[in-house]
Amino acid sequence: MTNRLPSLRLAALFLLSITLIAYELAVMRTFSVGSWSNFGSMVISIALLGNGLAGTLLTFHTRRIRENPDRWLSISAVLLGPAMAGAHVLAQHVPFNPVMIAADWTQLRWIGVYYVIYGVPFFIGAVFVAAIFVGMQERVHQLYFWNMVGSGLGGFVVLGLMYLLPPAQLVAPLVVLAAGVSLLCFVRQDPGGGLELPLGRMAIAAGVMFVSIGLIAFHGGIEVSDFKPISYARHFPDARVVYHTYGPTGEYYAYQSSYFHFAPGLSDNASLNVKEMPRNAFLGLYIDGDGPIGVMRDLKPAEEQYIDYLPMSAPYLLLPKPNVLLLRLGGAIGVYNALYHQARSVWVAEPDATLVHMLRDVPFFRAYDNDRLRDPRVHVVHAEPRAFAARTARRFDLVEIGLIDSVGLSQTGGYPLVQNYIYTVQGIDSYLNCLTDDGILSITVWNRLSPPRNVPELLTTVTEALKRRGVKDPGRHVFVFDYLLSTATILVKSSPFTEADIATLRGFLQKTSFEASYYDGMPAPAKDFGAILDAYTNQFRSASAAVPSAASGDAATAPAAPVAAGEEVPDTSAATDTTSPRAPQATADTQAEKGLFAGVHRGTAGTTALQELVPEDLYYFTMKWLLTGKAQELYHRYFFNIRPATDDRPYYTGYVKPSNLLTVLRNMRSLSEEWGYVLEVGTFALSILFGFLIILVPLVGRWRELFKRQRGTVRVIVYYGALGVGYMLVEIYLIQRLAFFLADPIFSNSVVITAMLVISGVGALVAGRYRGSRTRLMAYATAGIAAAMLFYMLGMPPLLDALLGLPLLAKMGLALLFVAPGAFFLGMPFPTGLSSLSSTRSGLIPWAWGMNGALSVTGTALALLISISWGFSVVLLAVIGLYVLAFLVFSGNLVEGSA
Amino acid sequence: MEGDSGRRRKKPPRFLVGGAVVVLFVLVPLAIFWLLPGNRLGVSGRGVAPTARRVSVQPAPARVDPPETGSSSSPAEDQALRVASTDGAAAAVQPAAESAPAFDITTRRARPPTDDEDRYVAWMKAHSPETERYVVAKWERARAIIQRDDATDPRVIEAFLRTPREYFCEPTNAAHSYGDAAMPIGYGQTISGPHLVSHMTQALDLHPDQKVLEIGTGSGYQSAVLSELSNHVYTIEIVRQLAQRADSIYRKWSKDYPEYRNITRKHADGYYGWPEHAPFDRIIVTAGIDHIPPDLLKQLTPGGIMLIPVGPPSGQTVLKITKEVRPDGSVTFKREDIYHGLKRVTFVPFTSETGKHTLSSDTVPNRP
Repeated sequence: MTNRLPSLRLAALFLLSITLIAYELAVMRTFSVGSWSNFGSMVISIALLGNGLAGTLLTFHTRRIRENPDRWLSISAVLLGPAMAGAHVLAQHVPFNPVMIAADWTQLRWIGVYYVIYGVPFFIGAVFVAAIFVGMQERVHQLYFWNMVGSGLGGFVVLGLMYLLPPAQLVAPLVVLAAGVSLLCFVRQDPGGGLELPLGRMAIAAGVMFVSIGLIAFHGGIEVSDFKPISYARHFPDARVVYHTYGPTGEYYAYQSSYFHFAPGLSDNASLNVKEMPRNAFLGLYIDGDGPIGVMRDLKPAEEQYIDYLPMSAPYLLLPKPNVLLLRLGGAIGVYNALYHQARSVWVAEPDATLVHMLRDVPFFRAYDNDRLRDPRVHVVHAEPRAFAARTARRFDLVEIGLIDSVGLSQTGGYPLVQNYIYTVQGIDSYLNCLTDDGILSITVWNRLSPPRNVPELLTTVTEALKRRGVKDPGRHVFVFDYLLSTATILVKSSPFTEADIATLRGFLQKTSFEASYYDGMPAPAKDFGAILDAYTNQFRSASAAVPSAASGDAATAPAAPVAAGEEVPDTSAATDTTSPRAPQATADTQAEKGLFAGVHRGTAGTTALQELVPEDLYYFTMKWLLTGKAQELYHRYFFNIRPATDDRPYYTGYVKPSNLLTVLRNMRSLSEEWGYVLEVGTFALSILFGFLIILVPLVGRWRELFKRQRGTVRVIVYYGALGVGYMLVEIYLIQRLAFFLADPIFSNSVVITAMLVISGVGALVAGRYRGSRTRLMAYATAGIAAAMLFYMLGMPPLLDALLGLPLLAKMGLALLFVAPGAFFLGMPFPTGLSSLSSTRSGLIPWAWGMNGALSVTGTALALLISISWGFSVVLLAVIGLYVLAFLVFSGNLVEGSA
Repeated sequence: MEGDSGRRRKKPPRFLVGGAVVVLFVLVPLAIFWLLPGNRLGVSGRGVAPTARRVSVQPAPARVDPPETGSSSSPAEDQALRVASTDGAAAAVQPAAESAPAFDITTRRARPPTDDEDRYVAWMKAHSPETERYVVAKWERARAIIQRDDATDPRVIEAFLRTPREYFCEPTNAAHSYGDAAMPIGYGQTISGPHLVSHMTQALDLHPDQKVLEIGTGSGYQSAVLSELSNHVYTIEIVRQLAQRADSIYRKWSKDYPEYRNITRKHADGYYGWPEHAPFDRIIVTAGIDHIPPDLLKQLTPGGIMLIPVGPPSGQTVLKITKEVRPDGSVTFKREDIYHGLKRVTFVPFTSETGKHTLSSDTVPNRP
C-alpha cells in the first residue's frame, strides 16, 4: 500500500465529520421550524448517544474490524446518505403532539421513535468513526485531528447552506457529501500501487445519492405543528403571506390580517378614553413559526391616542424631545412610540440583520409603515445592544428596553433557560453609561408570574448596578410601577428623581391606573414582609398547599349541597336567586359527606397572608430591603433565586434554587413556568443513566476479561468520563460567555465550536508528535488547561468588556484567540489516552470513544445547571478539578504499563 | 490498513473516472438544486424585486383600510351559523332587546343527583344519551375538580355533570375526555382541560338571566357549559372551520340538550365584541392577547365580569375584571388573578361616553 490510501481515508473521515455535524445542526433547524427549538438538546443527545452506542457495540467486534476495516468504512459510508434522508422524511410523519402529553402519557413513545429514527444515521456515522479509529490506530492523533477539524468546519458549512437553502432542503447537500465519503472509501489500491475507483461502486454511490435526494425533494417538506403560533395565524380568514425569507437566524414569515391586534400593557382606562383603536393596522411577523411580532402601519391621529395608555409612554413625560436609544427593534412599534412623543432622534440597536433589512429595506414594509425607519430622525444599527452601548460615544436622554422578551419565548408556557446579557449588572451599567446627566433608563417587562420572579430579579440587578457605580442613594434614582398580571416598568434616572418628576409620573399613573410600586418617599404598606416571604415558602413546602382560589371568592369556602337521586327540584338557585349561588347549601352538611362534595376541606394556613400580598408590596419591600442592608436576608428567605444577574451568572430566568428542586417538582402544577430548569435536570439525569448503560453494556459477559484478567478498566471509565464532561463544560461555557461578545449566539456557536474542535485537533497533532513521556505530556496539558481556565475566569471578562465595541470581524478574531489556549491543551488528553490504550488494550478504543460521547451530554446539562445556580466561575473550577482527576488517573497508569 | 487486492483487468481511463465523478457528484446535484423550488440557488430564487433579492414579496397596498366586515365568510355559510357575520366596530353600546330563550333552563325540574355515584349514573342513563363509561369518568373528574378547589359551586358542578365533554373532543381523543388536560381539536386549538373550564366558569359567577359573551368558541364545550347556567349565550370564533364544527355539534345534540338552542354564535373577529347584542353581563375570553380589548370593556355592563387570559404570546394568566359604575359616574375596574388570590382595584378617572373628565377625590389610585 502506498501512502496515498491512508490519506484518502483521512479525507473521508474529514468529510464525514463535516457531514455529521452539519446534519446535527440541520436536524435542529428542522425541529425549530416544525415544532420547538427545545428539541435541539434532544438532537445533540441523540447524536452523542449514537456515538456511544456504536462505540459500545463495536467493542465486541474490534477483531473483525481489524481484519477488514475498508468493508466497515464502505458499508457505513454508503448507508449514511439514505439514512440521513430517510430519517428526515420519516420524522415528518411522526404524529407526536406535545399538547397531548398531559392527557396521554403514551405520547412520550413518539420521542422514543425520534431517537430511533434519527439515531440510525448518527449510529452509522459513529460506526464509521469507530471503525477508522480501530483500523488506523497507529495514526490516532491524525485521526483525531481530522475528525475535530471536520466537525468544526461542519458548523460553518451548514451556516452557509442556511443562507442558500430553506430548512426543508438542508439535508440534501449533506447527502451529496455522504456520497463523497463513500467514493473516498471505494477507492482501492491496485496491484501496481496506483489508486482505482471501480465504476460499479461509483454507480452504487451515485444511485444511492440520487434516490436520497429524490426522497428529500419529493417528501422532505417540514410538517409544521398545528400548535405553533404561525399555524393559528394561517387560519385567519383574511391572512396572506406578504413576505418570506430564511437564513441562519430563522425562517421568517410576515402575514397580513385584520385579526392582528397589538397593544401590550394597555391600560384598561383606554376603553373609556380612546375613541378609536387601530384597525387592520398590523402585520404579524413569525420567526421559525413563533411570534407574532407586531409591525404597525402609519396611524391616523385618532388612532394614535391609545399610545398614551401604554406603560412605555411614561418616561417621555419627563423628557421633552429626547434623544432615544431603543435596545432591540421588534416590529418598530417602539420607534413609532418615540416619534409620536416627538423624539429628536431614535437610535435602535438590533442584532438580527434579517429583521433590520426586512423592515428598513424591503419595499413592502417601507410602503406599509411609510418608511418609518428611513425617517431622518431614525438610525437603525445592526449590533448587539450591549456592544452598541459599549462603543457608542453618544449620550441619550432615554434608553428603552420595552417588552423585548415578549417574543422568542417558548410556546410551552414557560421561559427558556438561555443566557441573557441584556439584564445583568454589567449590562445595566453600560446602558447607564449612555445616559445624559438627567437621562432615564426605562425597562418594561411582563409582570405575569405569580409568585413574582422576574421583576424582583430586575430590581436586585438594577440596585446592584447602581451600588457598584457608587451611587450614593440608589433609591432616589428608581421609580417602579406595574399593572396586575400585565406589565411592570422600572425607570432608572442618572440623577435623583425630583419631586416634580415624581408628581408627573404619579399623574400618569392616575390617568392609566397603573400602580406605583416604589419611589423615594412612597409610604410603606402596613404589612409584615417577613411573614409574607415565609408564607410563600410554606405554601409550596406544605404537602396540602392548595393555591387559594380568590376567583371563587366566598364560594370556595361554602359548603355544597348534594342533590338526591331522582329528586325533582325546582332550579331555585337559577330561577329565584340571581345574586348568590350559595344560598341553597347552608344546611346540607350531613348529606355532603356522602357524595361529590364529601370530605372536601378547603382553606390553608397562610392563605390570608398570600391573598393580602399584591406584587407592588413585594416590589416595594424588595427595594426597601435592598436599600437597608437586608439584601442577603431577602435572597435567603425568598423562595426563588432573585440574586442579581451578572455576566458571570447571566440567567435572568434561572429562579430555581437547587435546594428547592424537589419542592418545585412537587408543585409543577402551579409552577409550570419552571419547566425549563426541570427539563435540564431531566436531561442531566437521563444522560447519566444512558452514560451508565454505555459503560455497563460491555461489562455484560465480559466482566472477567475486563476486570480480572486486565486491570485498569475502572481508570479507563474515570478518565474518559472526566474528559467527556470536562470538555463540554468548557465548550458550553465559551459559547455562553462569548454569545454577547459576538453579538449573536449563531456566531458564538459557530466560532466557538469550530475553533474548539480545530484547535483541539491541532493540540492532538502536537501531542502525537511529542516524543517524551506521556505522563509528562499529560502534566503539561493539565497545567495548560488549569492556566487557561484561570484566564477565562479572571483575565478574559475584563478584556471582553473592554473590547466589546470593536467591529464584529475583529471580535471574531479575538474570540479565536481567547478560545485557542484552552482548546489547544484540551485536545491533548483524549488522543494521548487512546494512544495508551492502543498500545495495550486496543479493544477498548471504541468503548472509550463511546463513553466520551455519552458523557458529553452530561457535561452539556451540567454546565448549564452549574452556571444558573453558581455562575461560570464554578464551572471553570469544576473543569480544573476534572482534568486534575484525569491526570491523576493517567499518571497512576491509565492502563497498566501504558504510561 | 490495506485496500482491496483487485483482480487483473483493464482499468477505465483516469479522465473518464474523474469526469464521471465531477458530472455525477457535482454538476448533476447542482442542477437538481437549481431546479428545486424555494431555494436561492436556482430559477425560483431570482428575479424578485432588487431590494428584496431572494425573497418572495407581495405587492404593497397603496393604503390599508379597515375591512368592510369583520368576516370574509360567505352568506350561505353565515346562514349556517344562524347569525350574519358583522363588523365588530366599536359602535355605541345599546342594550339590545333580547327575545325569550329558545329553552328556559329555569323550567328544568330534574337535576342530576350529586350524593351518590350510582344514582348519578342511573339518572344520566335515564335523562341523556351519554354512555356509562363517560358518565362514570365525568363523576370522578367532578370529584377531583371539587377536591382541588377549582369549582365548588353546586351550579357549576351540575353544569359540568350535565355537559357531555366527549362530544366536543376529537373522536380520536374522546377516550381522554375526562382526563386532567387540554387536548387538540385541530387548527392549532385545544379544548381546555376540565379543571380550567370549571375554574373559569365558577369565577364567572353566571346566572340564568344574564347575557354572556364567549370570545373563542373553539370546541364549543365552554359555551355548552355556559348554556347550562344562562339562557343567553353568545359565542364568537375566528377560525371558520371551528365555528362550523361547534355549530354542527350544537345542532346534532340540540334535541337531547335543548339548552344548546340558546347559544347564538358567529364566525368573526372577537376583538370587537358583538355590539348588536351588547352590553353583556359576563364576557369570557378563551384566547390569549397582550392587552384587554377596549371594545370588550365597553360592552361590559356595570357590575359585569370579564375573564381574559392576558400576556405575551408565550403564555398568559387569566385575569378577572369586574366593572363597576358608581352613582357619580366614576368607573371602577377590579383586577384579580383567578388562581393566586391577587386583587387590585383600580379607579378610572373618566366617566361617560362623552369623555367628560370627572376627576374626584375618590378616583385616585388606591395607593398614595
